[in-house]
Amino acid sequence: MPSGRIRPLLASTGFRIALLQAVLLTLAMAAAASGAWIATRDLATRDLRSRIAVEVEAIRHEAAREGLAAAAEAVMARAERPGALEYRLLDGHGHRLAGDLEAPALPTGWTELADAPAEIDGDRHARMLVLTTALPGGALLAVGDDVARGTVMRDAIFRAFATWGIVALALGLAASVWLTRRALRRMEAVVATISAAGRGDLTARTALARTTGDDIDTLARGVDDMLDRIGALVAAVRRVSADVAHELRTPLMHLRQRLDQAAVAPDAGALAAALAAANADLDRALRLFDAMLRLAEIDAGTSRSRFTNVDLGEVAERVADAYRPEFEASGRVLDASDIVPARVHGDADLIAQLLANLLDNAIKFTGIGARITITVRLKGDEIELAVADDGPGVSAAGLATISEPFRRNDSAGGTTGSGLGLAIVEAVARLHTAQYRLENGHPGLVARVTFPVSPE
Amino acid sequence: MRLLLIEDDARTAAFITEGLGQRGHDVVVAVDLDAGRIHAATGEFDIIIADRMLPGGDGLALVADLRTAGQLCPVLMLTALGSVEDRVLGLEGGADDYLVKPFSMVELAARVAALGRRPALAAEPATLLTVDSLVLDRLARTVRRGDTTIDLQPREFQLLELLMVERPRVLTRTMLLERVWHFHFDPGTNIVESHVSRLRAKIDRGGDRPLIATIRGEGYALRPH
Repeated sequence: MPSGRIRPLLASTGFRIALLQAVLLTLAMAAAASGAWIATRDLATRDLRSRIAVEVEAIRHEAAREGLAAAAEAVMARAERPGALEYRLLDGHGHRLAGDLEAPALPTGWTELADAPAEIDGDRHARMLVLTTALPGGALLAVGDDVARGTVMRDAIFRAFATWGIVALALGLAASVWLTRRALRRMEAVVATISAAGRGDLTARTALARTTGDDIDTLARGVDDMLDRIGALVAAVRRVSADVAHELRTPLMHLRQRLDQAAVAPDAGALAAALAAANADLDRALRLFDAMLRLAEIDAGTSRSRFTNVDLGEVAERVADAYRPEFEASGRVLDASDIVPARVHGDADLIAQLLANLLDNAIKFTGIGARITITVRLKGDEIELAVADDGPGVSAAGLATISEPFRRNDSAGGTTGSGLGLAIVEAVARLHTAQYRLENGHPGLVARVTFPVSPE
Repeated sequence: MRLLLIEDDARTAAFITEGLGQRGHDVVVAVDLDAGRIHAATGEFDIIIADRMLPGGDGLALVADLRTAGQLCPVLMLTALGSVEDRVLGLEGGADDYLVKPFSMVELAARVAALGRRPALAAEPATLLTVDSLVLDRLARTVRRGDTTIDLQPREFQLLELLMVERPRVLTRTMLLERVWHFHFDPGTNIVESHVSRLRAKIDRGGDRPLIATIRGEGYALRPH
């Protein structure tokens, strides 16, 4: 595997976890095996000692009953048996009567020969355990065995342990390499998408098949959704910037025309009129700027720190009072009879502006004789502020977009406003965590802003 | 009146100095906060006009210093367009009025005039305001023109009271929106015009001398004419 493929693998969190787990598992197996090894070592030795003791007892018994010659025969017969122990029977003069255990002169009792020279069954006896007993008539019987013989099974078990442990470790590592590389390939798609977006390509998507529903899928879906939203927001910002430029061009163009007129004004009266008109055009551009900056300020949310308890009913009545003469002068009716005191947590100035913008719209988009109703009502644990008119209303498609910046109702009759009135309404509602929606009232348009009740 | 203008933009300063000079005011200009402090400390100004963003710091700091020193000299803050925050902080910080840049000379002159005429804080306000045959009782909240009692809505009463207190000064549309309706935004419609024409219809009836004057391009004033 070229290092270019190993390095990302080693750097991968998933692979590191798999590797760590494999190492820990191996260490645990080794620890368990060592513990078992130590525990069973004494077991084998004890077993050997009791076998030797039984043999010695049996031969001593034979010698005592049948004589030394019989005992020698018994030893020879025993030595022939498969899996037999090692024997040596010496007479009173030290001559070997039976057995082939090669050992120096041994004292009676248990002896451990660290490095016995004898070769039995082709094996070199590394460590012999020997019990030497004096028989009647000065004979000496030594019975022993290779300590290692009792541990053969033990060794086999531990070899199996080691072999399969290594196999399991190798398989585990191979599996985690495979899984990690698979995950890495999908992660690379996600990372590539994020980098592409970072370079400015907001159309990039991970496009991962969303079938497994695992954590990488969740991440990929999150990235795609986030890019969808960013794309939409950037498109909106671009559109608004283009709209602002367009909106400003008109008053600035008019302003220039007025100033040109002023420059060639034939008399003082014409000059004054042209300058006054220029001032009005400038005011329009400034109003647009003010509305835009205000919208940005509201959206920034800084005024939330100044929120106090505001009586929505009082604000509604104040704004209704302000607008009533204008409604009546223009032949419309403003009904503000259904307003109750209601405390909300907010900014009284901004709520007043929200309501003023809704009333401004009602004046612009209804005909003579229209009836506009302002209500403030308690609805459960919410407070609903509504402005309803019985005018021509807005089409269903228009309801969705009319609150966007510079989306004027087609029947607006020119461009008298900033085009930001409902956008400011929406922003103020959002600042107050209030729900704002426009509905068709059949007839007319209903704007509803639902505030949460102030907690205290 | 003697005015101190703390403003670092030379063109704006020249524009204000000239405009207010034509209206009979004497304007001293300070170009940064420190110069402003030194001038203000002399205490010989009737009104201080201060920008918020100044070389050397925030104009609001100067207001705080003045108030701490016990100086009650009225302060008009100039604030940036579209910043509600600036206005609120300015008024909370001890300024008496604010004006959003860019402003018209008419608006500035009207506000300077209104600030200059403010009675000293301790002075007892008159309870009975009389202009020509119009009498407004601020305690009983009644209005009479000659022998006729005039029935006014609360906002109309407030509007008339303000015009009478400030007479014969001009009150601009923006000033009326702020003081009568507490609207610190531009409603874009003819709220003030509608209310004034209603009020006018009530108090300037029949053969009486008209009292409420429309000053073209400026605002409204209570001036018998």
